Amino acid sequence: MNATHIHLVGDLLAAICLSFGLFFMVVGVIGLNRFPDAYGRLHATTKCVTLGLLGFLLAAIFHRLHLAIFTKAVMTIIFVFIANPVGSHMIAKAAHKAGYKLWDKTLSDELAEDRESGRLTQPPEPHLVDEATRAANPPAADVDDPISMKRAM
Amino acid sequence: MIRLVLLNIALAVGWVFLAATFTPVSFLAGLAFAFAVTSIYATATGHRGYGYHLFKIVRFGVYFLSILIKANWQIAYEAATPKLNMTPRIIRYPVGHMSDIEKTTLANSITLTPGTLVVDVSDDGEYIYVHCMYAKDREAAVRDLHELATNLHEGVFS
Repeated sequence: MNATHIHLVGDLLAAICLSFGLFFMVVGVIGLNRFPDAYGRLHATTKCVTLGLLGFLLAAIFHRLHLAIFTKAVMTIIFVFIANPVGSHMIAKAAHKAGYKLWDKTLSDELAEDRESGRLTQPPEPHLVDEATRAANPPAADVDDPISMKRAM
Repeated sequence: MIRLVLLNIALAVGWVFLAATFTPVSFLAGLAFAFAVTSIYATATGHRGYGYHLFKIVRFGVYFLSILIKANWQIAYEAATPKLNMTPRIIRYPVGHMSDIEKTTLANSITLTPGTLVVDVSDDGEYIYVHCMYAKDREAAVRDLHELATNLHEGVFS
């Protein structure tokens, strides 16, 4: 088996991984559009994007069998597998705190129960509520204040 | 034990730096030699069964990858079929007996496994709140979470 053969097999594996990843990316985007509430959409995006990106990076490894790309791809896989669930966790937490409605067919919400019964002592975070109202009617940009300028943009 | 695994990887990276050829194959060879060195080191410092421990970590990795693909297949099915037949629920799951790093790892793996998503953690760290997609039967959903937690504990944190 010479170098050409190895590259042929590598390209074939890369194509397989690429279509695998692309399929799940497409599925994730369809799910993002179709699912009824914020949590359902997070289900679709987190899982599908993680697996889709895994497919893409494996394709990159197989396409160029090179150590520099191998290490970078492996490190990206590790970081994505940590960062993606954490990000979705923070979005879900913020959505629940800001009071986004669950889907009509949701059977029970024990987090809201615990929050009402006082088992969770977290105070409601006022800046989240403020953020929602600010989005509804944005303030005029204050030139002296860089933070509010950033928000206005 | 997790330190030994990190030592193994660090030794393999060192091997690649010292080797004349910069290829994935030399990295794999480095991993193999580093494994030999690390298991001798583990035996000498009184940690028995390093090889079996490594096998359990790899087994958990394979199991995790299989449930990740299953989760995606579920999403694909749900997105492709016209009716939405989900029965979502937010349930609480006790994690009081775990260390912080184990809680974090469990929460991350829960988010990537079929039909579950971590929404919040209670202040005292006793419970995590999990949004389950298919939880008509609450007990069955909790049993699934428990299976994952057990597998994670057996595979990585034991």
